[in-house]
Amino acid sequence: MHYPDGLLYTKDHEWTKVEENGLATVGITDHAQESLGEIVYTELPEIGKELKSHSTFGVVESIKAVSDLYSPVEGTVTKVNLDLLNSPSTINSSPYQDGWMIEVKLANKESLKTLMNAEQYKKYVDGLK
Amino acid sequence: MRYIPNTGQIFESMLKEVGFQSTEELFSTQIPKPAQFKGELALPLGASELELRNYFKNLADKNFSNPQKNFCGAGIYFHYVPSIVDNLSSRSEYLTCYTPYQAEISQGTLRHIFEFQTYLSSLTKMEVANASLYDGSTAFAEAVLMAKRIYPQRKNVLISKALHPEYKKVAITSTNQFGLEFLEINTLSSGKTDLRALSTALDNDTLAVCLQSPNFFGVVEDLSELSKILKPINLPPLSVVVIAEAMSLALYEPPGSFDVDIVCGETQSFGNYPGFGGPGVGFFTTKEKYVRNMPGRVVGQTLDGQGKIAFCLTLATREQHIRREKATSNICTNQGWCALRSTIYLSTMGSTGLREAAEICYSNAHYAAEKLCGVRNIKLAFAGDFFNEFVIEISDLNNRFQNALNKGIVPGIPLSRFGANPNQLLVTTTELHTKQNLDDLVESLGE
Amino acid sequence: MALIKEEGTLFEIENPQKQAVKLPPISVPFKRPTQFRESALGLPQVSEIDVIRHYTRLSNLNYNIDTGLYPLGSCTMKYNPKINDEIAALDGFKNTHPFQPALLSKGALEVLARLQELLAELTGLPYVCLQPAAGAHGEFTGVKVIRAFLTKNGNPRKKMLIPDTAHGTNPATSALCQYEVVRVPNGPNGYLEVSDVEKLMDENTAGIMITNPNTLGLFEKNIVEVCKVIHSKGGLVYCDGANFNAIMGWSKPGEVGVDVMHLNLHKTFSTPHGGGGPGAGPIAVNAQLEPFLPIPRILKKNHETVLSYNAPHSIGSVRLAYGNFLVLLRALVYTLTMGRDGLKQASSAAVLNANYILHHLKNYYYLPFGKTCMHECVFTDKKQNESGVKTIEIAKRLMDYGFHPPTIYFPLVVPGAMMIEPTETEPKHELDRFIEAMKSISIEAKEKPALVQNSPHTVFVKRVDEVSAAKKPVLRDGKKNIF
Repeated sequence: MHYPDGLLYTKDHEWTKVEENGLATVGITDHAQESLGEIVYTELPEIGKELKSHSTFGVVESIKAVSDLYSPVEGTVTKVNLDLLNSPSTINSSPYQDGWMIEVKLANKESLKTLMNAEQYKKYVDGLK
Repeated sequence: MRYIPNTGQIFESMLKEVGFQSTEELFSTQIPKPAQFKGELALPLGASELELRNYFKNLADKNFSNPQKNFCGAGIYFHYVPSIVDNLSSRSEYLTCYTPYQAEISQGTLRHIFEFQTYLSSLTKMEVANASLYDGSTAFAEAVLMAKRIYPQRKNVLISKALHPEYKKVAITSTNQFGLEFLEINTLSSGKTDLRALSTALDNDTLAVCLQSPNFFGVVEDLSELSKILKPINLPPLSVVVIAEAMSLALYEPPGSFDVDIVCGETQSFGNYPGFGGPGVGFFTTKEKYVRNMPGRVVGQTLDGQGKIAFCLTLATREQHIRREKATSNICTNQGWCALRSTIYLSTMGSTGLREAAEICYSNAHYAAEKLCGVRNIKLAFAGDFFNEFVIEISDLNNRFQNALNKGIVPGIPLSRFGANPNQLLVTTTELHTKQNLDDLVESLGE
Repeated sequence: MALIKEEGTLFEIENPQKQAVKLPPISVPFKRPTQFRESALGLPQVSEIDVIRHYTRLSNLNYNIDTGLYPLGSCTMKYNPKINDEIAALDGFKNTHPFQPALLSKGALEVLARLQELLAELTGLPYVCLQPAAGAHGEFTGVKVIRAFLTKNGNPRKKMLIPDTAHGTNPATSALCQYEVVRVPNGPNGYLEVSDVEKLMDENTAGIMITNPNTLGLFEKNIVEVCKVIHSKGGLVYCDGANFNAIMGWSKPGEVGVDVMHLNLHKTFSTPHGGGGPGAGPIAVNAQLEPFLPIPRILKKNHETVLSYNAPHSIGSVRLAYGNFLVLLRALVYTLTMGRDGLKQASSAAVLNANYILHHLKNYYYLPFGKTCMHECVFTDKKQNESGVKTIEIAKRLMDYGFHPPTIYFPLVVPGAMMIEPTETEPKHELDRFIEAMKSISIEAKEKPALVQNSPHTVFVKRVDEVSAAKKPVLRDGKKNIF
């Protein structure tokens, strides 16, 4: 299981990477993609959608499970990874790189304070097993 | 004891083997005293097959069951059921098997469901069909629920007055917890829905517009006009067309040709008996883009590990057993066996057989209508074209209806049964009726 | 067993010269329709023997009750008596129209009234509605009735308590009725603890949806107290009757405090599953809920059975006409066949058969709860995990032994669950055969795990690619494209 440093994590297994320019990228973690199994479908929001911390921004579906996607941050959606609509299994093979889901312009940095770093997330995941 | 092979000694020895001295002990150790039923059930003792055959034959004989002299319709129809439909569907491999969750040992069921989906898709000319729903009325309710999922903020449903009143009642019962408003659109003298009034009633709050064709009064609606009204609208409401008499699909241009969003209804006409109203077969078809919003089961074609074509239930993640409270609906079943009968029926009739049967329905209905209008004080209620059902107006309907019954004919359904005009009678003819049957009908309603 | 070969589609053998039906010549003057369908119908054009061969061959690919045991927990796959089908095929029932005058349908109405009486007696809930077409449909109807009752009393409320062991239809139904699902954990012994329910029940909760016995195969020992807690806060108790086969004649839900329940006639009452329906899910309620039942009601008035639409507080209708009549008829035949002695004995044998399996497999598979069970028992793959074998693989390996797998991965509270319900119609020798197969598989799992992991080996199709089916769904036959 791989949890890169430099990313922040949620209890619902999303990750976010915050850039200097107030933009953040969001996706799901290695643990999430492994639990789901091969992903067959994903639903992502429209550009411009306003997100609150922990509001749902989409759905990811495998043959045995469906998961809502919860936003780790508050802001507006600026980019959506449309490649995932044709190749949803990219999320499985590259959850942190090519499997990125949305880019968000942060409204504030408040929500980031509640997120976990890589070490804390790893501990959290180990505790679940 | 019937159907219980482990009885008497076998039962007793098994009981001891698992460590219990008596059946009472087996239960009383698990059911606490306050929850135990201590009395005797107020039911008769078990009966033999011979006794039951007598009892039920007696009850069956108390029902009027002569399709040649029965002219009732309104969502349930008497049609020819080829002998091989009963024969093939009665195989235990089809009748007693479970839902095809384990694809490897259910390919038979999965294949026939796939055929059902294919046939319904073609007949309605819609891109995707599901594996069937309970019946036409609940299929319609599901259509409204699906429109609500797509437009969660909207609350108005425009529904034709000529849509089956029981379908409408079921849809309202199934959706009123969402606070939906059902606005009725009136019909014209032709019996068709007033589409101009529908157009005026449309607003940003409309989530669906619903028509039935042929409608409850038997009149064929103008679907091309409907699509013209909806086309220029930005984010239009979903168009829902209900088909209660599936046989009509053989004769009329299907709703799919008019860009309709959802076509749903009943396929009992294909291979299933009226059976005092159930079980039926609801069908549901829609556009490919809505496939993940579609309720019910679907079977998909795929390959197995050796590259052989195989079939399985798919898109199951929308269903209740996985999605639970976020499911698209709470449906756990289709009407598998009844849908199988429809499938075998359609395979047997083929395109030519189905069209021929539909043509006979049409000719029979128009012959009967013409002859009935020749009788004093009977006239056609609506001017619009009809398929195999039509409404006639008789000034003293009650008397004439009773006369017909006395002559051993059920001439149709008085619309007063559905809270409508007490002088109107809905008459249905199918390919089962001969010229003699129709002449008898006309004669029975004479003065 | 017939030689199983691949079976193509009817489209592959169609020919415009072929016809499988002959209709009588039209007897009235032909009337040309004013409109005409131009799009192809897309149906195959074949001969009668083609249809017979096709569907007969396809049927050979199906496992079914007449072939062997279905150990499916919570499904009650019992034998489907043939007399039921014979009676459902009588002309006087199948050729009766629901909207013909009631006086001409006395026999049909009597069937419905009689079934209502018998189900009321079995459940202890006197008022029955036969309209719902399936269990989930019955749940929906029952929860709508609850909602209507609470609304009439001033507040429909917002939440519904649902145990973690509940069937997926329960939370789906609640959500559909606009109730927020509040999950209730099961206690350490597998059944609900009163304190857990008390903590969660309040005046903003409509009630609880329980299954009794629950999906761990255990009777809810605290049910009487749980019902009291719910009632004390003005809520109602819904009972999912999927497991009713365990308690007929031994416990009446109406007497322990249940206000409304549904029954699955295709489970407990032997009507055929048909590969996924039709079923029937009638509901039974107590007096306070009666006014809200769907219309039309079927009532006895002066020894006559009548249809009544006079129910101002009714929730409406949940289906056209009166319900799945031909299914209801089969259930009536069954209930009269069994009678008061037979039904109680059925529950006794169902519970004994399940305990027999539990007793013989408890040293081979991990048993998470209890030493005894009601009509079903739940094992897990914990022991087999040690050599890397999982529940799904054990299930598939069972197919090689000629059995349909049990219910797997449900209930969700037990990881790797295998829920086994043999029902009372299984003879001891079939149970022994099943037990031997399960024992062999557990040994295989230890000694040659790869054999189990790569199963099934002997079935017609193997390893169906469900992933591709979900990614790019193909839902109709591409060979006949009428678009």
